[in-house]
Amino acid sequence: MQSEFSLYLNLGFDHILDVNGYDHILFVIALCAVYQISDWKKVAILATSFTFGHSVTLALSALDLVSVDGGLIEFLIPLTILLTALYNVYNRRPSSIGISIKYSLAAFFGLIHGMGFSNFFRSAVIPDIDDGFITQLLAFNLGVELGQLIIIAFILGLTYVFMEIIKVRLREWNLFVSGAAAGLSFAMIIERFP
Amino acid sequence: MWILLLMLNFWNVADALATEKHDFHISKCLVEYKPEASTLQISLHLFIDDLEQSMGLEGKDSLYLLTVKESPIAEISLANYLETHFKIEVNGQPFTYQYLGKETAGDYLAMWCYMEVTGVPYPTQITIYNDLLLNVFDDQKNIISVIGPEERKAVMIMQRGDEINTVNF
Repeated sequence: MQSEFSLYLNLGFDHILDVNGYDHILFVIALCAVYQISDWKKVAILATSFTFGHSVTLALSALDLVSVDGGLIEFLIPLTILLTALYNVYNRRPSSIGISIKYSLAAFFGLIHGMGFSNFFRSAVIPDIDDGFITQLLAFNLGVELGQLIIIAFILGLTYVFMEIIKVRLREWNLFVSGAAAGLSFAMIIERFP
Repeated sequence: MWILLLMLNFWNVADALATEKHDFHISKCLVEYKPEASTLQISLHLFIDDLEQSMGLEGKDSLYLLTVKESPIAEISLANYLETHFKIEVNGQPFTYQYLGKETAGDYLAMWCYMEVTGVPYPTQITIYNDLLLNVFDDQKNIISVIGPEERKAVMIMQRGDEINTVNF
């Protein structure tokens, strides 16, 4: 037995960290590839933008206010990863406008990922008496956020190890991570082409 | 943003007949005690392709559930299948339920099954055994929300190695 809140929190947490469907993990990694731990403020803003985006569509879609074909979303998600990875390679020293664009894009891509989360959430939400829906939605969303924080901590930690111990430069590390993300996401795009 | 959402929505309509896939394995179920009728009403949500795969493993294949080709023995096969994989006890006593029917869920990928237990005493304890689809997927999760007396609610989740849960009201 567990509470409704913890059950749905665990579902959200497990869903974003699911290694079988690692596209969300890959996106968060690509989003962080150009940063090191000292950039944590930028990472926090970026992650918040992404969270804002996916919370909006998760809620709208869970409430049936927006409905998008699941196959299309599954195709668009790796596209957001590829675009993020390409932007990482291109964007050496972003201007303040470049940074604003990046935050906006993170929010926009969040809208797409949120619809992916909602496909999962909609098959797990149990409409019943009282405020079950709200509890389940909030708990699930919080679980996703916690999972996202774990991924960010993991990639920034790994970046630290490579830069400080193996003495790899951030730019080189970024190209390596973004290259890997681009390759994996490209394969998903081909596979999921509608 | 709204324009984009509308465009995506349009695409959705245009693509409505394409078959979708889902890469996660979840069932959900609402078990509701109705004191005025002394019944437990059960609504169970399953993905049709997963269910057919699971039933196929038990030799119940080619059922074409909820299609025009649906097999004449589909209903009875499904009722038997549910009886084996979803069991319910009230106050420590096993109860059988009646299979009432099924319908497609909104997106046509999934379905609702409806069952009912009659002559239920005032429940102080409800135990549910649910190993639906656990024979097919190692990441299958079966979520159940139980509404007991005075609308008190409990949730449970079944997965491999954890097929039975009990709630006390």
